[in-house]
Formats: sequence, structure tokens, C-alpha cells
Amino acid sequence: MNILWITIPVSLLLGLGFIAGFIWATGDDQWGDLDTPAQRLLQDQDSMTTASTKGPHS
Amino acid sequence: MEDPVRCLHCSEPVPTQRGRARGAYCCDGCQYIDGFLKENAAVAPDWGLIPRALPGGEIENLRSSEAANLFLQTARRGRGRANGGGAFFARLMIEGFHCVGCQSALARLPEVLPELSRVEWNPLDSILTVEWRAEAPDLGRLGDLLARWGFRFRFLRADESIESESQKRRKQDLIRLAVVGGIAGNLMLFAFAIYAGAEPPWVRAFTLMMGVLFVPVATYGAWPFYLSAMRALKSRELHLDFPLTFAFLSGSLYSYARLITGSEDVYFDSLSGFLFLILVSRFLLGWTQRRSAEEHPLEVFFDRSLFKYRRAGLEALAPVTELIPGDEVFVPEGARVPVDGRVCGGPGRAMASGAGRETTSGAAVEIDTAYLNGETQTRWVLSGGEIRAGSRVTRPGVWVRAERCGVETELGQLVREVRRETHSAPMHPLISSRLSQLLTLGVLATAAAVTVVFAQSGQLDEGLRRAFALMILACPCAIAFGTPLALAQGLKLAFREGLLIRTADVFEKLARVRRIAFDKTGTLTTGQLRLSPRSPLLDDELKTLLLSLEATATHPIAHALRRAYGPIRPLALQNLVEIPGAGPAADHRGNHYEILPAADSDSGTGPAMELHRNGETVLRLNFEDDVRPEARELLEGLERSGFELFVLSGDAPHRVRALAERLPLPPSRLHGGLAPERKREAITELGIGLYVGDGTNDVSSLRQAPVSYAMPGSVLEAQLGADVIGLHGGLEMIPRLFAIGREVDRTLRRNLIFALVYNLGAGALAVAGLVGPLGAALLMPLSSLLILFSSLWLTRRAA
Repeated sequence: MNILWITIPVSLLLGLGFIAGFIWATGDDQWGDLDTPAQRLLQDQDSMTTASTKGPHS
Repeated sequence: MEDPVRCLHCSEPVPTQRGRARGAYCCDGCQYIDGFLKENAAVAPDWGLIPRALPGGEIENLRSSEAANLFLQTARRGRGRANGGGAFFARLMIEGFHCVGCQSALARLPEVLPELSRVEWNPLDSILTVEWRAEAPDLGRLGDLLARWGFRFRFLRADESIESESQKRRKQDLIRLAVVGGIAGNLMLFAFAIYAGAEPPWVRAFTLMMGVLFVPVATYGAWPFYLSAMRALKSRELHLDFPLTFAFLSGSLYSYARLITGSEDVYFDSLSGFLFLILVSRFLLGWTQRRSAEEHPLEVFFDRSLFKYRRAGLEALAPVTELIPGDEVFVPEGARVPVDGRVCGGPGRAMASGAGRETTSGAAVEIDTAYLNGETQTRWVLSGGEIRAGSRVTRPGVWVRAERCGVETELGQLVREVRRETHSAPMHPLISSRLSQLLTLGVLATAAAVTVVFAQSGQLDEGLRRAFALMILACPCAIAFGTPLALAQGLKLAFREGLLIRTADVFEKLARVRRIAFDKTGTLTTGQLRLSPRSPLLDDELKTLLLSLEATATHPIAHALRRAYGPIRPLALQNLVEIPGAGPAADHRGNHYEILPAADSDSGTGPAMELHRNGETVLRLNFEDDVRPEARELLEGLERSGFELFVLSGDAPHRVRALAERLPLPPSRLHGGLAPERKREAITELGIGLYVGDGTNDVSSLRQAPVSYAMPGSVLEAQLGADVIGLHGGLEMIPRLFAIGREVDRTLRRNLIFALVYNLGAGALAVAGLVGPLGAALLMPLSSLLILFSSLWLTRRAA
């Protein structure tokens, strides 16, 4: 059962890591707009520059 | 990156041009509010906002200054309403609302502050809009009261957008959800290990670990519930969050107590799972509500169609919301114009920008403006002529240069006005909120009784276990969010069908309607005159003369004549004049002609006219006002459904009575010759539940009736006065309205019955000890989800 001394902290760290990652992603507006990025590919060069300068808000 | 200086009041960055010398306020308004808070710190120690010292020293006399105007907006609310004129209103963002119980506290605001004339709560954005009767509104008194009631709030600047705030809150909710969910998952792992039969030292270790992991759940995760329960206590307004919080908190404390005393009998896993599921269901609810609110009303109105438009010489397709002033938009034959603008070209040949006036021959277009001004006759608009959003182009397709777009158009204003009222939830406490309060009280009392009974027989543990299970199980949420959601779905469904409903209480009122009254002209009839088939046959010369006299007229008789005899090339008449109240008069070949309204014939259903030559009658024509083709069948259907039908009309009594021949209505229910005022009284006297009208003379009746329906094509005043506005279609929309009302009613009943059965059944199981806290934590969110789907099902099935 000694292996538990390794696996438990590892699983906890992983869990915390995912939560931290999620918090970062939310704060960074990664879920803010799920539609336009996929369509940006189809836009012309001009409008693309305006789209990319918008970026996540600071 | 350098951190911007933040406003002491609202935390917004302070614009640099305001300078830091004035202190860290983004605007005079914030300074005013903060100053007021400081002044009143002694009176209201428990302000939701922390009063701070003004760095500049003295507080200027800001209360009456224009600073307050930053928060106050003036508006002529409700165009055409009795209380017109200017009124002040301000918007506040209030935090932490979850339930209907809180709303009833806000509903009392005008009782406590008599200077308030109106309070609107928009639960989607947590915005409270307050309107003052007073000349100089005192924001401080309102703030004071709200703070004392335990709300956290912030005044919004007049120009401030609410989007960022609600987005911020949404993010916080999402993070909370993730944290609680992640920890709940980990707790489950430990719990499974224990249930699977881990060895005693590991059981101890796992239990301790669970105790540690549970700390953020109990503090950060449940924080909104604690706040909400505190508010409930402060305002003495019992609501749903209270028993939930109570159960959660006592469960947590109980588990920690067991942990310290060395027992492994803890509920950390089920409590965190319970919290997670509640957070999920709330998040989902918010999401669906937002989804239905974000759907752009104009896009729905135009059936999500795409319009061909030209901008800067390029042609593309776009929905109505994307069009901007300056665009040239093509409106195909039969479609509605999406913008306010001017006709700029015929089909297929849009003019290059700035090409100006071309010959008008190709660019004339026939439009039907019924939707906007109730004129049932189509009219022709020439190139350069004005055309309004919502008019229908009858033929041919046309290019329109946009001048106003989206919500700037008159149509957009109307839709927005109505939608705003719709989305401000009804402020009268819903019956379901009273019910949920009763339920809450009942649950707490039963839980206490169970604990006491078991404690007396020495089984405190078992008593507590059952009490927890009961408190977790009992879910008034089902009632609390099922009702508003079902109403919201009903409104959405109605809108999709072309019925713009002003407030959700229409559904409740519809269920009580027994008597329906119709206006005649324009409602039961088309309002479009037709030459009587018994008219004399005319020679071409007389036809040409008649049409030339009426060449420029737009009244119904002129349209009827054009339809019957036109088109012709008008004669060049001399001294053509339009005499108000009479008709046109002109000279032709030495004779003086005039058209005059004639005394009614007894046979016709419409008016009559006479052509006079040199003062002598040479011709008399009768007109018919046709009954709408669908009217007969529709009225029969309504009669069969048990409604009593009436006609209240301002038209001549004999014409109204003539309806009895063509419609299944007994003459005793046909009331003609009613002045608007008399019509309004008749509605009360006859106990009319639903009034259907369309004209200016219906406005007061539409307001008087419990439910009123403005036909598509009603005048704007009628539309603003009505509870339900028809966007298209004819009389057949009325049974549709009733069908939607019944569907909503059925959903509400279904939710309510389900909630009662569930609570009684599951509650009994919990008291009997057959369901433990873990089972309860599973059952509770399941019931919430079921209510959620039951409410969402409404649109699915009826669609």
C-alpha cells in the first residue's frame, strides 16, 4: 500500500493543476467566444487583422 | 504592466484627463455617492459599500448638482401613455439574486419610498431600474434603504454598459463551479475507497484528507449561499436558499465534529456533490435564460432571413442586425423592409452611391405599411421616397438606402420597448414564491420535529441523519425556477409565432377570459373598401373623371376606386382642390365637379359617395367593407370553445348589425355607434376578458380590457396600449394565443404538481429513514433537472 503515498499526492496535484488551468482559461476569456475563432480562417486579410488585434481583454 | 488608478467607488479605471489631483474617482457621480455614504456612515453602519474618506477634503454640494445626472436618465416613457412627460430613472446593479423571494422585497420599494413611481427588476442582468415621481430625485434615500435591506449594489452611470458586469459574474460562477466540481470528484474517490473496504489506518487518513479538501468547498464554494441566507435573515423574507444553506452548514459542522471525535461517519462527499449539482442547475438556468434573452428580437421578427446589401460598392448578404446606415439593401417582392430609409432603385439596378435622382419610372414600388400605421391600402413610393422598416414591399423588389437601422428604426423601438417590459419580471410576488415559502417553513419544522423526537429516545445521530436528508431533499427550487422559466419559454414561443406579449401575467389572465369583444372595422373586416357589386356600370369617360379627381387621394374610397377602375392616365383638371371633410373638387370642360360623402344606404356595409356636377348628383356609388375571409370559421370555433363573442364598434349601428348576416353573431351582441369612451365602459359592463382592436379609437379600450390584442396593422398607439401585439396573420392568431396560454398553464401545473408530489414523497422517505443524505443529494438535483426539462419542453412540443 506504500504506493499510495505517491499516487494520492500525484492525483491531488493533477486535480489542482486542472482546476488552476481552468481558472486561468476562464480569466483569460478562453470561453468568451467559441464561434468566431473557427470562422476567422474564412475571413479576408483585412478583417482578420481587426479580429486579431481585439484579443483577450487585459 | 502598470495598474491603472481605480475609482474608489466603482473600481473602474480613472480616466487620465480627470487627473489624479481630484482623487481617485472616475466621475463626479462616484464622488457624490461615496461622499453621501461617508456622510451617512453613522446612520447606516451596515452599508454594502464601504464609505471612504474623500482625499480632497470637503464634499461639495453634489446632491443637487448635475453630478447626480450621471446616474439619472430622463425619458419619455411609454409613448402615448397618460403619464407621459419626463421622468427620472436610474439603474442599479444589485448582486446576489437567486430567487423570487428577493424580488418581493424589491417590489415593496414604492411602498416605502412613495416618491418612486415605478420599479423594474431585470433578473437576467441583475439590473434594477427605478423611476421617480419627484422633480429632484434623491439617490441617497434609495441607496440607504437598499443597503439596510442587505443588498450589495452599485449605481450604473447613464452610459454604462451592463455587459461587462454580467460577464464578470458569469466567469466567477464558472470558476466556482469548477472548483467545487473538481474537489467533489476527488472526495468521491476517497469515499469510494472507504466504502470499498480500505484498512482502518487508511480509512482514518482518507477521512482526514477529505476534511481538508472540503474546506474550500464549505467556504469559497458555498459563499453565495451564505450571503443569500444572511439576506434572508436580514430582510425577514424566508426563501429557498435558507433551508439549503442551513442543511449544508449543519451537515458540514456535524461532519467536522465527527471527524474530531474520531468517527468516520462523515458526509463530506455527499455535501460537496450536493453543492456541485445545485451550482450546475443554477448555472444551466442562467444559461437558458440568457440564451432566450440574447436572441435578437429583430432577427426573429425578420425570420432570420439574410438581406442582400451593397456597402462601398461590394455586394454581400447579412442579417438585419448587421446592416448599418448608408447600406443599400435589396428588399425582394413580398418581403419586409429591414431598415428605415429611402427608395433608391428598382429591381436589379441599384444606383451607384451618390448617383442621386434618376428617372423614377423604374424605381416606383408598391408597399403595404399596414404594420406601422394601420393603413390597409398599399401605396406607391417613388425613388427617393421614405420607406419604413416593417413595411412590406408588395411589388416589385426594391433597393433601399438605409438611414436608420436595427433598434434605431421605429419598428426596432417598438419591439425594444415591449421586450424591455417583458423581461422585467412581474414584480407582484408570484404565487409559487408564497408556496415555496410555505414549503420551506414546513420542511424546517418537520426536520426540527424529527430531530427532537429521535433525541428524546436517545438516537440523536439517527434523528440528525434523517433531518439532513429531509432538508437536502425538499427542493422549492423546482417551483421557484420552474415558474419563471416556463413563462419565459411561453413568451418566446409566442414571439416566434408572431405574437409580441408584453408581460408574462397575460398567460394567467388568458385562462380567465370568457367573453371576447372585437372591434369591427379593420378587425373583423379587412378595412379595405370594395366597390359594391350593385354599383351602376360607368362609361370610360366617367371612370377617368372619377380617378382623375381622386388621383392624389389616399383615403380608402380613392383606393377602392383605383382598384375597380384603374389604372388610367389622369386628365388635366383645372382648379383641383381637396376639401377637408368633403372630397376633391375640380373644373373640367366648363363644368364643376365634386365628390361628396353620401348619406348611408341601408343595404351597404360600407360608406357611400356621390359625384356632383354643378351641384347636381350625377352618380352614387356604394362601397362594401368585406369581412375577413377567416372570420366566420374562426368565430364559430371560438363559440364552440365556449367563449361569448361581442362586437363593440364606433361604426354606424345598422352597419354593425349587418354583420349578423355574415357572421355567427346574435344581433343582441352587436353594439354599434359607440364613442371610444362608451366602448371602454362597455368593456367593464359586459365583463369582457379579451378585447381585439386596431385603431386609434380602440386605444382606451385596449388599456381597459384585462387582456387586449392589437391586430397586425394597428396604429402605433393601439400597439403600445395592448398586452399582445400581432405581428402578422389575421384573426387566426387569437386561437393561437389561447393555445399558447393553455400550454403555459399546463406546464406550470405540471411543474407544481410534480414538485408537490416529489417533496411529499421524498420527504416521507427521508423521515422514514429510507433515503440517507447521499441519496438525497442525488435526488434533489435530479428533480431540479426534471423541472428544467419540463419547462423547456414547452417550446419543443408546441413548436
